[in-house]
Amino acid sequence: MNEKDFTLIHNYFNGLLSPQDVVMVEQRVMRDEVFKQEFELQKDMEAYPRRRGKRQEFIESLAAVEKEFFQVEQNKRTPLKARVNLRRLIMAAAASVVFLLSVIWLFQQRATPTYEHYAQHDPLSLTLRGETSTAISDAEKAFANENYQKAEIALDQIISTDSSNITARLYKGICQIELNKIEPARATLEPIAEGQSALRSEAIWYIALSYLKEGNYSACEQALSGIHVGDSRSREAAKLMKKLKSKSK
Amino acid sequence: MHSDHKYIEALRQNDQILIRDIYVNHADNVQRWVQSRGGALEDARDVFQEGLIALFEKAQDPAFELSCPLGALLHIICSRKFIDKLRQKGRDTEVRNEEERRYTEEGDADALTLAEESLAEKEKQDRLGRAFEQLSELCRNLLTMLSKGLSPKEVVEQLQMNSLDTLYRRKNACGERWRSLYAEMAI
Repeated sequence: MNEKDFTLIHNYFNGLLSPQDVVMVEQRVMRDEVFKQEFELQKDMEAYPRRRGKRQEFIESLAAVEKEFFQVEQNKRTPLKARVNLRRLIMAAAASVVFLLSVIWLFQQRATPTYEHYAQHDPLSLTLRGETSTAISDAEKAFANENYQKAEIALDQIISTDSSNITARLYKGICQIELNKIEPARATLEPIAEGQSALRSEAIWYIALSYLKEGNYSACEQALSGIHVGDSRSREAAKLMKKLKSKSK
Repeated sequence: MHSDHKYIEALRQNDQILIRDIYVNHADNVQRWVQSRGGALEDARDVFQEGLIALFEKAQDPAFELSCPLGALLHIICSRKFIDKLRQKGRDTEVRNEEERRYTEEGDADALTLAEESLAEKEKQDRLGRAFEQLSELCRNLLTMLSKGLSPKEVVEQLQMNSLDTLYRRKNACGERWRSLYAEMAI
């Protein structure tokens, strides 16, 4: 392979060759193994950025599904000794929790639903197996520390190199809501809510919470109606919807 | 074509219902297999996810047709990934035992070939990704825009370049840099 061969391959993929030259390149791929290898690598490189977005969406789907599996077994695998030692503590804690929950429940029955009550964010996890970057680690740490300003900056950095990273975009929207940038937050979340990814209902949920934060209860209800039974967040959405309806009566 | 080929289509289409079926049918087996060899739950989850990603990468080849049961293929891929994990942890004796067992147990030739192709495809995509991450922001943006179907003219406008000629020269330079980073990572 020489410089001229590489230029030929580049020009092929840039669509700059004449029809005769295109045929010539394709014939050479069939008979020249070294040329074929370089041609195939260039083909993979041309497709990579598009394929990377698809892979990211696929991994997000896996993450959404795998929560149901493996986790149950983890509970089963808790060592017996630990369970026995923890039993008394758990019973005492449970009694306190029941009492506290009863008190909280009584208050909540009368209280107006608030954003703060519902804004329980899952931890941000963008690290793929074997892949990490400074921006990813900054974003995860900042989000875990509730430093939403720093998290938003790191997430912007991630999105600038991979605009198809839906998880990063979702969490950017969450950061914006936390920072009271409500309109930009909805602009960030709406394309996800209108898409077909595994995070669609998460995005709708946060759009609803953005309205709740503004005290716009009717818009909040309207957004919640986009979450269907069986979607993630459907139970929380049903509870919030019920509360909003009882409030408006 | 094997009747399990529908799952390969599911990976191509990101069909969550059938992907969930893959977990229902095979996650337990992989988990038991990993845990019976001293692996943690986390290891099982990792190798299962990596196994599915390897299959996803293989499924991007439109000519790929599944010719063996999905479970057999997943088992080989996941067991190879688990052996890699043991190797990373320096558990050499267990690696040797597993390697020996591998030669006697991995019977299905079709599944074996497909597993090796899937793992090689994943490795190639991972390596391309690591090299891509090291490119400049301009290179990454330019290559991403073109790959995602923006016309060269639109890319010239968005990146405020002078001409199509500049765009192609820049793209070729980015490609060369990417190739050399990719090659370095093989060493």
